Amino acid sequence: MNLSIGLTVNGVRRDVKLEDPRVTLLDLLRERLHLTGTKKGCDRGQCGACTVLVDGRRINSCLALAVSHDGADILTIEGVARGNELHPVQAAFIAHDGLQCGFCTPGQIMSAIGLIREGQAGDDPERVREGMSGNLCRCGAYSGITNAVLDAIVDLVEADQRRSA
Amino acid sequence: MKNFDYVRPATISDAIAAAAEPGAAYLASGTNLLDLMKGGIARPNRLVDVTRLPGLDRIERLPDGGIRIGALVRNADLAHDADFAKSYPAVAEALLSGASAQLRNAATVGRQSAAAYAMWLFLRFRQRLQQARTGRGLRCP
Repeated sequence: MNLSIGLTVNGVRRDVKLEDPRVTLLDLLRERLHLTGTKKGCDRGQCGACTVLVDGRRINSCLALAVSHDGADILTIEGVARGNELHPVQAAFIAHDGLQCGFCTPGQIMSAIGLIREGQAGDDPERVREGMSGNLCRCGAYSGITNAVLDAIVDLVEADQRRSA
Repeated sequence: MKNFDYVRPATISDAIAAAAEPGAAYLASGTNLLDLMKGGIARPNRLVDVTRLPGLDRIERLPDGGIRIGALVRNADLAHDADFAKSYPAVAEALLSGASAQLRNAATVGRQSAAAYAMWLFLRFRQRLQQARTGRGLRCP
C-alpha cells in the first residue's frame, strides 16, 4: 500500500509517502522528518512526552495515525521559538527551573502552550496543575513547571493586551 | 500492531458499506482504538476513517428541549460548550474529570460512549464472575 500525505509542520509544507498505514504522527515526526524534539515516552497516551499541537490543539501524537492527519497543521517544539528568541513558555521554564533531565520538557512546553490557548486555567495554580496533569515528569519538577506556566500565562496575556491596545 | 487496510470514505453511506466487511473497525481520533491495537487487544483488518465525514461534529438543540450530540464531537468541545455545560453540568464535569486535556481534545463522544458501554459490560461480567465464585447473589440469567 502506498499512501501519500501532506502536512504543514512548523509552517513548512511536508509531503510524505507512507509504505504502511500504521505509522503514528509521533513516528512520522521523529523517524521520517527527523524532528526528534517530540519525545516517545510510554507510546500509549499516558505520559504526554509526545504532545504536539494539531490545528492549534494539544494532542498525544503517539495515539494519532499520521495518515488520518493528512492536511493538518502541526506545531512541534522545534517551531515555537522565533529565531534565537525563545517562546515565553520556554523562557519561563528556564527561569523557574521547570525541568531536571529535560526528557518530558518538549511535551510539557507544548502542553502549556495548548493550555494557555484553551484559556481555561486563569491564574489558579490548582487549575494549572489539573490542566498539565496529562504530562508526567519523573524528576518531579512539578512545582517549577506550575510556576513557569503561571508566569507564562501572565506574560502572554499582557502581550495580548499590548497588541490590542 | 497487526497491519490493516486504511480507507477514508467521503460519505456516511460509503463508510457504513466499507465497515460491513468482517474485521473492519471505525477510526475516529484513535485515542482508544490505537491503544487497544498497540496492546494486541483489537486486531482490525481494515480501518474506516470517519473523521472527515460531514455533519457529525455538531451539538444541536432540539425543539423538544433535548440535545443531539454528533458522534465526532470532541469531549473537550462538548464539556466547554457554554450552553451544554449550563444544561448538563454533571456531564460536563464528568467529561473534564476523565483522562487528560490532550486526550479530551482528541477523543470523540461517539467512541467514548461505545467504550463506556464496553466497560459497563466488563464490570457486569466481572460482577457475575464474583457472584459465581462466592455463590452470593447468583441468579439464573
